[in-house]
Amino acid sequence: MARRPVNPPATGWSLTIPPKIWDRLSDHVLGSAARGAVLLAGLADGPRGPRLLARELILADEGRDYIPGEFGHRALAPTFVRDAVIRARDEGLAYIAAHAHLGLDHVGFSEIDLASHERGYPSLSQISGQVVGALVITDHAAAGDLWLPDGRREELAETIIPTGNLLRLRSQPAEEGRPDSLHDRQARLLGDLGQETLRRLRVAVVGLGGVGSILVEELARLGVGELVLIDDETVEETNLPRLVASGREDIGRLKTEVAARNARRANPDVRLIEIARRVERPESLEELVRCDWIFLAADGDAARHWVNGTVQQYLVPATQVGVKVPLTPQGDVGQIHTATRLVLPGSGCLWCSRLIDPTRLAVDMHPAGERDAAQYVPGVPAPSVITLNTLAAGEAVNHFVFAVVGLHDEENDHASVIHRPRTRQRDLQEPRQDPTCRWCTSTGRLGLGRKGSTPF
Amino acid sequence: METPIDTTAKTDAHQHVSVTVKVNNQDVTLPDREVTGLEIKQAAISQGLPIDVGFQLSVKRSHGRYEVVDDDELIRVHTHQEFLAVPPDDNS
Repeated sequence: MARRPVNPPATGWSLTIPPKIWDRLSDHVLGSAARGAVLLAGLADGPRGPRLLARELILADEGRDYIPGEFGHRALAPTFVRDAVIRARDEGLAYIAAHAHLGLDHVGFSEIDLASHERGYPSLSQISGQVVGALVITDHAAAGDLWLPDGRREELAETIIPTGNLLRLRSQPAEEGRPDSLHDRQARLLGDLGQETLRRLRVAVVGLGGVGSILVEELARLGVGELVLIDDETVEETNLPRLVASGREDIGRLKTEVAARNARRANPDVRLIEIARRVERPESLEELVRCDWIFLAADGDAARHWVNGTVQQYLVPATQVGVKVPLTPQGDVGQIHTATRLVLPGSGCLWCSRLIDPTRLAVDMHPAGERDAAQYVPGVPAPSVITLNTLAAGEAVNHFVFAVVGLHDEENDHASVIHRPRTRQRDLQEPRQDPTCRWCTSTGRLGLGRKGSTPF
Repeated sequence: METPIDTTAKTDAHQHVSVTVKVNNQDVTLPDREVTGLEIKQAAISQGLPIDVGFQLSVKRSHGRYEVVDDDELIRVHTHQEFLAVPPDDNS
């Protein structure tokens, strides 16, 4: 199959579709028997405009729900439209009718399509009180026509599918990007449009210690345009061997300040948001939900829980990066492993993978003094070595770069990577999903956006 | 209370009383308690709703479900009764 065009992030309304929902939608409407469907979607503010977040797919059954059209070739039957728009109204979600056209990199609505929208969507908008509209897709392109409750009409700037390669579908491919002499060598691999993609992205790093400081260094040098830096801790002497670009004069300074200074040194044009708070604080979450990607490099179950919630409720992909060095009280070293876990909306989550412990989460949510008291046993610092952190961070950023510029061979490979450096093994681990998960399924918070509560 | 669809013809003794119902969440005043599906849509159009007579009309029943009302179907309406009028969504 031809490689999809690389489209840098566009400004305006976007629609994000979780990979599993996209697979079902494209199978249904792009298959040999072209059919129709409706997406129900939450709403959120995004880094470049309002975001529609596909939460559920309603497939139109051929013959009953998708019938010969009165004006067009085929039509969603009025009873199907009615029932779907009632659900949109009752659940406070956008109604997006979807169908496919032939073609590859270009797609648009026909006059018949647009006439149908003009005939019907003002009434559907009155019924639901929510955004209503239509999506037309090919394998490589998507166009959308949105009717807002206040009477305005907007085109969809892009449709995003955060799968193995993060797809950004437009009605036509983006024009060639501007050559960037600073990044000439890496743009020879990533392409000018790939480099432009990085420049327009807003990426969060949660936890700015040993792993997080490497992530910031690499993301800034790659040319990521905006970084959201979240950590409430200050630098200690024992951090220095692992904290990139830190010095003794930094002891006692906020890790966000040190990371920001380093990011600016790496890329003077980078835009920085420094949040010296824990991730569950409202000011942290407000920034987190408006990112394109999140790197989770913080210890603790609270950080995992809040980032996991953001991924699922706001459809923001994330990579969790960690290093585990097991050590017995006698000093014996166990199987060291590093993990880079891809956390994608609707494809299994950290709760489903048993990576959040409810008891430890409860303890982690208490104020610092109470957290320490609840541990009972005095804490012993875990071993930490910069080379192990580098292994995990490099894997995570490589995956991210390849994903956003479309360089992964396998689009549907969502596996995590586990390195075991003592035995020199590198294994892939598939995500796991509980069918009734309250976070990553349509029966839970998936795609609810601002309609769901925040904090979660 | 369920409102039965009355398919009998209007009688001379019938009293004409206007009734205000909801069509697509908007108030629509009907000229009579007994109207056809087509008359409901025509009244809604004349009162500015963005629909046309080709739309499919449904009435909300007491159990919360909607039933289609045909153009020639006579229905006895009551104040605040809720209707939806939607078109098919034509694709090229």
